[in-house]
Amino acid sequence: MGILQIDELSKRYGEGETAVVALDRVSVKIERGEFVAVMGPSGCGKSTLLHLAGGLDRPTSGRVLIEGTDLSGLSDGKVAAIRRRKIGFVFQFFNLIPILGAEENAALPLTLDGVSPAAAREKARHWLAKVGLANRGGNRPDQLSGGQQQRVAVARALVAEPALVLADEPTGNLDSRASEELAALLRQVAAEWGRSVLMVTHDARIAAYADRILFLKDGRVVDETRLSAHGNDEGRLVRERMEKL
Amino acid sequence: MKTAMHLALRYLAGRKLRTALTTLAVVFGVFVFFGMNAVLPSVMATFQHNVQSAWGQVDATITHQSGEAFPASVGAKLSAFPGVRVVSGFLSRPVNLPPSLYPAAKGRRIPSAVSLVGIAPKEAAQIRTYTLEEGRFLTDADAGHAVITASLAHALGLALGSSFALPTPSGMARLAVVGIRPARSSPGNEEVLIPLREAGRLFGSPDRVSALEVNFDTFDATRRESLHAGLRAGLGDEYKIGSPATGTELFATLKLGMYAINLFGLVAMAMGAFIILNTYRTVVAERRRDLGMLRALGADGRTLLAVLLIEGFLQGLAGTLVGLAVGWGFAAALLAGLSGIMESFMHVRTGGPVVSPLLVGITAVLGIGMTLLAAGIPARQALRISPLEALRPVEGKTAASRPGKGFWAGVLLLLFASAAVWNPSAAVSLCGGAAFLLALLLLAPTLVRPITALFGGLLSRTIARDGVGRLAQGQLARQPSRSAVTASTTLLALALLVATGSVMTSITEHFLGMLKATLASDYLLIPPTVSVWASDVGAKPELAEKIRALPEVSLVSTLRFASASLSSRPSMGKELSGDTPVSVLGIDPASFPKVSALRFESGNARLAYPALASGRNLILNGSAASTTKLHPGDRAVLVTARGLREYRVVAIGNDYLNAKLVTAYVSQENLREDFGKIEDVFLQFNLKPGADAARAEMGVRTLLEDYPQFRLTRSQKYLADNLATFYSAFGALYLLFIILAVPSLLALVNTLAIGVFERTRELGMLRAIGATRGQVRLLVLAEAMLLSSLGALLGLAAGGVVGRVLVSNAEHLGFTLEYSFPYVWMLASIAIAVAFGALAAYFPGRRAARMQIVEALRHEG
Repeated sequence: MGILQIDELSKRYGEGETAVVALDRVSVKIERGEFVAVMGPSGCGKSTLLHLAGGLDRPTSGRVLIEGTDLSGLSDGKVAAIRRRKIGFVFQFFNLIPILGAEENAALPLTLDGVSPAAAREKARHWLAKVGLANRGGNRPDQLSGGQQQRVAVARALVAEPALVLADEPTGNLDSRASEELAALLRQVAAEWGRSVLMVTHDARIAAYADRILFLKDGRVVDETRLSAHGNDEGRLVRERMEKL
Repeated sequence: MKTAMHLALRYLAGRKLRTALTTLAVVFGVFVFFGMNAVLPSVMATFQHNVQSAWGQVDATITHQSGEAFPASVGAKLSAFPGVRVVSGFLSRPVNLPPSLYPAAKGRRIPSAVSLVGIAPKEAAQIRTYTLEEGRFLTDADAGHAVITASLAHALGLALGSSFALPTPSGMARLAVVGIRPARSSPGNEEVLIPLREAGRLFGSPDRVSALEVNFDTFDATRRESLHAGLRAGLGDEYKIGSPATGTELFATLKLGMYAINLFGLVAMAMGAFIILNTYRTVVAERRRDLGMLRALGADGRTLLAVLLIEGFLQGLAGTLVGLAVGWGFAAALLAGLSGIMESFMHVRTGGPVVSPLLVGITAVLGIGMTLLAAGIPARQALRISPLEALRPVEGKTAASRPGKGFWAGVLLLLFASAAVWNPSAAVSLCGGAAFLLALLLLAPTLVRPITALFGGLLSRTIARDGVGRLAQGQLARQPSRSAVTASTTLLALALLVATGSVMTSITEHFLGMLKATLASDYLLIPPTVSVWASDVGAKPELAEKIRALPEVSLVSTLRFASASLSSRPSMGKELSGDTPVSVLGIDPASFPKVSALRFESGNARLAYPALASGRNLILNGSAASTTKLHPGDRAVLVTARGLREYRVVAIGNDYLNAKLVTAYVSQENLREDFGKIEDVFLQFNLKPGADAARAEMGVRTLLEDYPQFRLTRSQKYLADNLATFYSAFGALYLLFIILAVPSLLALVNTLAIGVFERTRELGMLRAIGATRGQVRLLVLAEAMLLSSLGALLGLAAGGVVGRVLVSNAEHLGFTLEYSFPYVWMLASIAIAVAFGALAAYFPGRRAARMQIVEALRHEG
C-alpha cells in the first residue's frame, strides 16, 4: 500500500461545450520516503493534481487514498483532520501568518488539532532546528528572508509528523541559491526523515532533486522518469524531456 | 485626469464586492447621522409633550375677558402661530346632580355636582396624559359616550358599559361609560369627559369653547416670552392669557432631556465618521500592491491620489444618496413604531421625520467630505512607500508598537481629565468628562494589545481553543489603529448608554429611595392635593384617634401644616436676604420616623427627631436649606401667626412629598403652641402583624364617611402610580439609547466582512493545513468578540466617568442627586456588546468558512 494512491483521477471545470478537463484519468502511487516531482507546461493540471491529492478540492471522478484512507465520501471535517495529521503543505507564497512568530507558525497544525500549546511549540522548535532555524523561533515572517520563510513553512508541514508533504511551486518565489537549498531540504525530508514528497515545479534543476518525475500534458501523465543521481546532468536531462513535451 | 477617471471607474466596476462593502460603510455612516437627526425633532416634541402632560402642565391658557365661552375658531388662529405646538379647546360647565336622580347610598358619597367637560380627544391627549384604568379614551366619532373617574364611578355605582343620566340645558342626557380614569386626587368637581361637539350641542353652545390650552415647541425662556407676547398681540384685549407657574423641576427635566438628545445627535455624527474612516483605511491598505504596480508602470503620485479621490467621491456620493434614503426610511419606520407605542400608552401621535436643508447639507458634507478625507489620508501615506516595496508579496506588516503622537496626546488629556472631573465648577468637570472620553479614543490603539491579550487569554481557555483565540488576538493586534477605530463605535455607543444609565439610575434611585422612605407605612389617607397643604381641609385629631382605636391598627402618624416665613430680621437669627415663605409641617417625633423617614443630607435621625421634641428646634428640607443658606446649628426666625419665634436648625432632611417645596419640620407640640394648628392634613398608619387588612380597610372607610376629603390607599399602590408617571416621562429615552447601539453592530459587521475578504488567502491556508470550517468561523467570532470587548471595556470606563460627572452636575439643572452605580446598565451594555459581537460575526464568519480552499489560495488580495 502506497502512502498516496491516486486512481483514475479526473477533474472537469464547467459544463457542455465550455467544459475544461484539467485532469484526465490520472493514476499515481507514491511509496513511503519517495520524492516525486510533477512537471509540465502551464495549465497541464499540475496544481489541480496537487490540490486533489491534498483534499483541497473534490475530483469529478476517481479517488485519492492517503495511507489507505479514501478521501472521497469523507465529510469536510474528516478531510480537514487528515490534512492536519497526515499531510503537510508548502506553498509558493509561504502563506505564513504575519502576526505569529516562526515557532507559532510552525506549531499551527498541532495547535489547530488541540495539542497543548507547550507541546506544540516544543515540536515546532524541534523541526525549526532541523530545517536550520533553531535561533529564529521568535521572529515574525517580516523579519525573515524568503528562504527562511519557506523553511518555516517546511517545518510547519512536518510538525504533525505527516506521511505526505505536498509542495506547490515551493521555489517559485525564491532566488536560485535559496531554491537549491530548499530542494535539498525536501530531498532530506524524503530520504532521511522518511516522508513522501509530491512537489509541483516548473524548474528542471529543482525537479532533478526528486527520485521520480511525472510529466503532465493536457491533464494526462505523458511521461515518467526515475533518477538515480541528482546532479547537473540530471537537471539537463529533465530539461530536455520537458522541451520535448 | 482622464486616465485617473478611467482607472477609478474600472476599479469600482472590477471589484464589485469591495466597492459594495465600502459604499455600504458610507451608507451606514450617513444613515446613522441623518436618520437619528431626522428623528430627533419629533422625539423632542414627543418628549416635551410626555413630560409636560405627565406633570399636567400647559404653556398658556386662553380665556375670554368676560369668562364666557368664545368661538372655537380662535383655536385655529392660534395653531397657525409659528412656535405653537398644539392647541386644544374645552367647553366645561358644572352640572348639579339632583338627589332625585342619585339618592344617598350607604358607603358612597354622592357629589352634589360634576363638571361636564367637552374636549377634542386628539388635541387634548397631546396636552395631557389621560391614563385609563379600564376601557378606552374618547374619539371624535363618539356620541352619547363618556369617560369618568374611578372615584365618580364608585360614588354613582357605575361600571364600564353602564349608562347614567345628567341634566343639561338640552334636557336629560344619557351617557354610556366607555372609559374609566384613575380616582381623582386634585381639588374641584369630578369630571365627566365627552367629545367637544357633543358638549356644544348639549350646552347649546356649538363651536364654542370655555378655554384654549396651548403648548409651545420650545423651552427656551426668551423664545417663550416672545411667544406669549405674540399671542397677546394677536388676540387683542378681548382675551386673557394665563401662563401657569412653571415648576422648576419640569424645566430641569426638559433641559436634561434636551441635552441628552443633542448629545445623541453629536454621537451619531461621530459614529458615522468613524465607520467611514475605518473602512477606507482598510481598503487603501489592501490596494498597496496595486498602487506599487501602477507606480512601477510610470503613474505619478498625483494621478494615483486622483484615482483614489475620484473613487472616494463617487462612493461618497452614491453612499450619501442611498444613506439619505435609508436614513429617512429608518426615521419614518422608527417614528411609526414609536407612534404606535405612544398612541397606545400616551394617546399621542409622533410626527414624521423632520428634514431641514441644513441637515441635508451637513449630512452631504459628512458623507462625501469624510469619504474624501478617509480616502485621501491613507492614500497619501501609501504613496510614500517605494514601488518596489509595495510590490513585494508581503502578507501584511504588523504595525509598530511604539506609542505615537496620539498616545501622548491621550495621556495629556487623561491627566487633565483626572484633575478636572472632580472640580466643583460644572464647566470644568464637564470638560473633564469629555476629555476623558477623547483620551480613551486616542489611547485605544495602544490599549489594543494589552486588552486583547487579557480577553484573548480568556477566549482561548473557553470558546476559542486550539490556538484560534491566539490567532484572533494577534489579528487585532496586527493593526491596532484599525481595531481601535472599529472598537470606537462600540465605545461611543456604550459610553452613552452607561452615562445615561448612571443619570437614570441615580434619578430613579434618588426618587425611589425618597418615595419608599416617605411612604413606609401600610396605608395613606391622602387629601385632595398632596404638597399644596394650604388648600386642603384636614381633620381634627379625633380621626387619627379613632383609627388608632381600631383593633387591627398598630400605629398612626400624621402631618399638620401651617404657613409661615423665615424672617430676614437679623435681631435674633442669621440674616437672610429676604423673607422666605415656608411650609411648616408638624410631625410627631416619636411615630413619624416609623412611617416616613426623612433622608438626611446633614445631621441624623438619632439626634434630630428627639431634638424636635425638646424645645424650638426644626429640620429644614434641601430646598429650604439651599434657599436660605441656613445650616445645622444656625438660628432661624419664623414669622408665625402669633409673632416671631426663634428656632434652631438641627438637621437638613427630605421627604418625597415636600421635596420641591421650601419646608421646615417641627414637632406637632410646637406647631400647636406657635401656630395654633392641630389639624391633620395627611395620615399614615400601619397594621398589626397578621391583622385582617380587609377588615381594617372597611373600618377606616366607615370612619372616612365623615371625612370625605380623604382617600384611603395602600402605600404600595400610591408608590406604583408615582413610579408609572415617572417612567412615562422617561420611557421614550430608554428606547432611543438602545437604538443607538445598533450602528456599532453595523460597523462591526462591515469591518469583519472586509477583514475576511482581505485575508482570503490566509484563511484558505488555514483551511489547507487542517483548520475545520468550524474553527474558521470561530476565528471570525473570536475577533468580533475581542473587538466588542475592547469597545465595551473602554465604553464602560468612559460612560462611568461621564455619567459620574453628569450626576454630580445635576444640581445645576435643579436636582441634587447622589450617584448610584448603574449595575443594570453596565450589565446590559456588556450583554449588548457580547450579543452584537456574535451577531456581527455571523455573516462574515459564514463566508470565511464556506470559502473554496483552492480559490482562496489563489486570491491576490
